[in-house]
Formats: sequence, structure tokens, C-alpha cells
Amino acid sequence: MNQHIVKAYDEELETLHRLIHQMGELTLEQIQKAMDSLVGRDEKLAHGVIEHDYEINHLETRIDELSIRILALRQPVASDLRTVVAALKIANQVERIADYASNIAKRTLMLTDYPPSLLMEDLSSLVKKPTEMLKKALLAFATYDVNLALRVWHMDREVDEQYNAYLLQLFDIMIASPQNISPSTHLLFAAKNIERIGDQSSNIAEAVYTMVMGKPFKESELS
Amino acid sequence: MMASLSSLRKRRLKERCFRWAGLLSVLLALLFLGGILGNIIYKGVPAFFRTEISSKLYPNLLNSHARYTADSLWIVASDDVDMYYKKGYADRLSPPQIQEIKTLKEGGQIRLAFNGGFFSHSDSREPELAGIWGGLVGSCLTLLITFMTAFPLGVGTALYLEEFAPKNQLTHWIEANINNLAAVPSILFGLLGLVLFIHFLGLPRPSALVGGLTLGLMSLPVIVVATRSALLSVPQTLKEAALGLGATPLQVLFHHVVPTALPGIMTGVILSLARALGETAPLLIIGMVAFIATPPAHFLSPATVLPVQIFNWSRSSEMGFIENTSGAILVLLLLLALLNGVAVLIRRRFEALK
Amino acid sequence: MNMTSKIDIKHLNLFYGDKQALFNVSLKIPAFQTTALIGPSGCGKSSFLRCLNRMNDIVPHARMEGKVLLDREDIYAPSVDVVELRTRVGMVFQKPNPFPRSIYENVAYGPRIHALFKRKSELDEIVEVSLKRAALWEEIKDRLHQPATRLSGGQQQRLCIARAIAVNPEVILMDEPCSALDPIATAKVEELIDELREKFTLIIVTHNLQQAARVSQQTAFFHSGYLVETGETGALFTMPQDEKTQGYITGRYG
Repeated sequence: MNQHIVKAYDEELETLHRLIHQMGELTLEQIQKAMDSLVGRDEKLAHGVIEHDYEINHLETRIDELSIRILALRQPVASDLRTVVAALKIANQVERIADYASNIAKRTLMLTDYPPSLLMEDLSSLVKKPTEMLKKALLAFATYDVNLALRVWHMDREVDEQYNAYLLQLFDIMIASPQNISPSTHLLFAAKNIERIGDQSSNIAEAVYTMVMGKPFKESELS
Repeated sequence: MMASLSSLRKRRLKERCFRWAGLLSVLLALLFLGGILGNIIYKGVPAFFRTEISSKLYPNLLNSHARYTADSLWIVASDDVDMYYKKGYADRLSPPQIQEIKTLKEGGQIRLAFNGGFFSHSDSREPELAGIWGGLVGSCLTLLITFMTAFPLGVGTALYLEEFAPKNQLTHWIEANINNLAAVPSILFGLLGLVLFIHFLGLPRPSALVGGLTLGLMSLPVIVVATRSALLSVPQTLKEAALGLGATPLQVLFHHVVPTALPGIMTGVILSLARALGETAPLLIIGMVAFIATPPAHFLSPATVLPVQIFNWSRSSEMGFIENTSGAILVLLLLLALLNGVAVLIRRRFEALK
Repeated sequence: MNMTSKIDIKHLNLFYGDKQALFNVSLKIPAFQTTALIGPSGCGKSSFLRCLNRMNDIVPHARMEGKVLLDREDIYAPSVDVVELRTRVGMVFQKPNPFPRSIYENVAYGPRIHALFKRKSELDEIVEVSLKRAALWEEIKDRLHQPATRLSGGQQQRLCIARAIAVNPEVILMDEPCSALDPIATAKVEELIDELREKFTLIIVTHNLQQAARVSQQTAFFHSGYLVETGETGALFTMPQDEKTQGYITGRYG
């Protein structure tokens, strides 16, 4: 796309993209660390994740402020307007995802009281798909790639399937022994958070779709 | 910083120098103007007064039914006496005459009185009896003809050229020529008048009609140029507003363009009339230089105009005519100031309406 | 758009001498809506506007081809009287241009030249109604006979609108009506445009994109004499179909 006549406008839009990118990277890191702490029973790492959440909240605030500033000063229209609106939405969703990472870290702190189990390690494979979704959704935003966004949206079904399978496993364990109920409940919450990462990522994909196509995302319109 | 300060000082100095130079030139111009005006007033004002000598009446010899308010009558003195009495110029008086005047002076039998004849008499060979009435009437009649021909023709031409004529080579050529005509020396218009009105049309020679027509020719280009610039200054937006409301071009012209341009047009017309009023050269060519001792009765009777009369008087050798010349110039200047004043007044009035 | 179109422009070409100003422009103007014409300077939007009430007639060497149908009747047909056309299609100009007369006489001028009244009282009423519709009445009702030139710029422009609606036109053309006004006066005129839509069909040329977005229902984007894109205003400003439109409205033009 051509440059704006007003250079500062271009710079502000670039900053917006950069901040979203930074926020995404940081969130991915948080997810990874939260999972590592859970699997490795590392309380220190878990504390680190919880403490670092404020950085992401701070980034979201900066994106909100910049978006409002662009809306007020530049009165963006067409693709610029859609970019700013998408950025606002995506920042909000990424912040939620970071909250999920922080929630997982909190579960780590609970689970260290219990003996390790295979199901804890299974979680680290459960997180792979949602993480990939988030990465690709953010890439779709950065490159205005509507096809990639659609692929991300379709991936959510697989995440749900994996989550349901994992739940069944947890139920089996809980039925086998009541002692397992407490740790399994924590694992269930962690799994739920992981599944929500997938949901939010598909929301990001929808926002990217609206940004590129200029119309709201409708499931019924997909072929 | 220091460099810019010194350059600032230089610029200030330049500005001050320029201001002083301007002031100086204005003062110089005022000095010249004051000198000329002062000279004319100094020489001209005495023309409004005349020397009179009291002559004894003889009641018992005159008709007994007549009533006399005084037993003496004041009679105009000759120009030589006048000059002597006003300015002590005695070259043309003999010593006995001077003695006589002195005696009269001692007896209170000689005085200076308002010279009504200067305004009510026509031209005369005798300076003490000569007046400007004939020239004044001639000027008025001539100016009337000038106005009646140049105003409608000039304004009409300008309106047509500006508002209706197609913009092509021909109209461009006409416009350029009219602009040039406005700068042609007035004496050439005299030659044109001579050929056109006297030789070709055979109109009577030194008449107000021919003079007026000639001056009309001279004023025409000036009026056309002034009117066109007044019309040009009417904003296009005003015309569009009226057209947009569905006014016809003629309605636009007479409802909006002409009223808006009118002060400009009137100023141009009055100023060109003022120029015509002061014009001499073309009238000399068409023979209005003749000595005419009676005011013109109508447009075709022999007439002269004020500036030509001034020109004639200025050529006379007698001392009395020098005074008369300056006096007549004063009257002419007054008339011109009056016309210019009217132009200013019209402009002010219309501007107040805006 | 499924509206009845008030004006239907078909394959309009406009020439000024050898220079072509408009190229094959076709556009439907829906009735009782505001259509905004946008585009960079010299794109032909003002020339286009002036075709709609034949103001280009007074421009020497201007020539046009194509059809402009007002209620299905070609306004360039020989039988059409320009004067009558201009009472049906009024115009408001870029710079407020009141006549140097009183406020009353400004509004009364149109009705006077078209003899739209029989008694003085009827004229008074026309003037009052027009000034009220132009949202100016309350401000100036006590000084109707003062010179219009003493009004502020915004008031002058609303007076010009009152003057245009005094002859009860069907369409009002506005050529950048707010470009000489401050934001408050602009807001007043914009509010007025929105109200006038009930009775009139409006077409407005504007350089202010936000203004076009605010006041119009349909927007047409002109570029170098071509009508590039036209559409519902909201859609055109969020999702323009043409790259030139996108570039122009986002400030990437040139």
C-alpha cells in the first residue's frame, strides 16, 4: 500500500502493529513458561509468569491509548479505520490469553503439593495447537492475510476435540480414585484455560477477517 | 546572533531612510502646490473687487419724480485707475490724473467695491468691464452636450463590450484601441471635431454644440475604460448568485451588475467631465477661441468656454487682464473642486449602502 | 439502491474548448437524499455540479455531450428554458455571496423575479418561511432590513440557502458550502442540510471528507474527470472498492 502523505500517520500505524506484535511475542513466551513451570513443577518460574502479566496489561493500555489517539487526530477511514478497530479488539483478546497463561501458572502452584502424573505432561502437547493458532492469527493480522486467518479459525475445532479427549481421560482418573479429584480439578482448569487460548485466537482470526474484508465475519458465509 | 542583529539594524536604517525620502517628496509637492495656489489667489482675489469713483448727482436737473437715496453715484473707474488704486501701478497715468485721484481719495470719493460685473458680464475689451458669465454659460452648455453624448455612448459601449460582446479577435482589437484612445493628446480630438462636425457635417463654428461634441469624443474612451473597470470589479460570485436563482442575463445586468458598478461608473464619468471642463486645446482648433461679448443664447449660437476665456485673457497685454485671468482660474478651480467633491460624495454614499 | 432517482445522468462528457473535463459520467441521484461529490481539486466535481443546472452555459467554449434527466426529462433539450430550470435546481456557492441589499431583499429577490406572489403579505410569508427553514429566522428577525453583508460568514451562507429555497426548488446544488466557515457555522449548515433532506434533493461538493461522511447518504468519488466510484456513504468510507478511492480517502493519494 502507498505511504500516507502525512508521515507521522504511517509511523503511528506502524507503532500500532509493532505493539501488537510485541504483546503477542510476550504472551507466547508467558504461555511457554507457564507450561514449563507446570510440567517441571517449578514454582519460581510460575511466580515469574504471574508477576510478568502486568507487562502485557501495560502493553494493552498503550495500544488502547494509541488507537484512541489515531481515531481522534487522524480520523481514519477505510483500511486504516479497520486496522485501528482490529488492533483494539486484538489487543483485548491477547490480554485475555495472557491472563490464561497466568492462570495456568497459578495452577502450577497448587499442583506442586501433589505427586506428578502423566496427565500433566499431556498438557504440554495439548497446548501446541492453541499456541500455533495464536502465532498464525497474529501473523495474519500483520500481513493482512485473510486465508491464514480462516485456517486459524478452522483449527479451533481440532483444539476442542483434543480438549474433550483430555477431559475424558481426567474423568477416568477421577472415577478410579477419589484421591485424584483434587489434582485433576486443577488440571481441568488448566486444560480449560488452554482451550480458551484457542477460542480467543479464533476470535483474533475473525477480527482479521473483518479488517481485511470490510464486513463482519459470518460462519454461514464460509464455503 | 550578532550578525543578524547588525543586519536588523541595517534594515531598520533603510526603512527609516525610505520613510524620510517619502515625507520629503510630499513636502516638496505641497510646497509647489502651495506656491502656485498662493500666487493665483494673490493675483486673482483682487479681480473680485473693482475701483469705483463717486460722481455727484444733480437733483435739481434730473426728473423731479425720481427718488434718490443718495446724492452721489458710484461709477466704475478705468482699468488704469484701478491698477493704480489697487497696486500703485502708475505707468499709464499722467501726473495730473494721479493728482486728481489723490484728491478723490482724500475726499472719500474713490473706493474698492465687490466686482459683481466679473460674474455677470461677458467678455469685453475693457478689463474693468469684462466678466466670466459668457464663458460660464458656454462651459455649462458645452458640458451638457458632452455629458449627453459621452455618458450614454460610453457606458453603453462598456456594457456591451464587457457583458455581451463575444470575446474574439475583433473585440480584443477594439478594446486595445479604446484603451489607446484614452491616452491620445486632446488636441487631436480637436482636429477630429473640426473635420467631422464643422467640415463634414457643417455645424456652426464656435458653438457649444460642436465644442460639446468634440469634448464628448475626447471623454468617450476615458468613460469606456472607467466603466469597464468598474464592471470588472463586480464580483463574479454576485452574477452567479443571481443566475443561480434563475435571473436572465439582462436582469443580472440591471439588478446587480450596474447598481454595484454605478459608483465606479459615476466617478469615472464625473472625473472625465471635470477634465473636459478644463480642456482648452481641442476647442481652440474648432474655433471657440473667437472673442464673443454675449453669452450664448442656445446650443448653436457662438460661444466660448471658461478655460478658453482664460487663455484669451492671459494673452492680453493690459494689466487688468492679468488679474482677471487669475480670478477666472480661481472660479474654474472652484468648479473642478466641486465636481470632484460630487464624485467623492457619490462614492461615499454608495459605499455606505454596502 | 432501490430509490426513485431524481436526476439521472447518462454518459456525460464535458469539454472546455479542447480540454475534456468530464469523461462518460453516469450517475443516479436519489430523491430526498444528499449525494456528496468528493475528489481532489480539478477532478471535475464542481464542473459536474454545474452541469446539473446548466451554469456551464455561461462559460465560453464549454460543450457537453450526454444526457441529464431531471424527472426523466432532458434538461439540455431545446424546449427547456434555463431560467425555469434554475428555479427547479437551485444553487449555493462556495463563498457566501449575498446581494449587497437588505436581508429581506436577498430572500425576496427570487420570488420577485419569478412573480411567485400576489400580495406583499405573501412575500413576507415566503421570506419568513425560507429564513426559518434555513435556521436563520430567530437570529435576524429583528433586523430584516439591515444590509445582508453585515451578517457573519455562517449567517451569510445560511441566508444564501434561504435565498435558494425561497423559490421552492426541487434540487439544491451546493458547491463547497462550508469551505469559508468556522467549525460552529459549519456544524449549523450541516445540521441544516440534514433537515432540508425532507423537502429537497441535495447534491453537495465538498473537500471535507468527514463532512461528506456526515451529511450524505450517497457518495461519488471523482478523479481526473472520471467518476471512479459511487456508493452508499457508510460503505464507501469503510470499504471502498477502488484503489484510487481508498488512496484518496485515507490520505495516501498522489
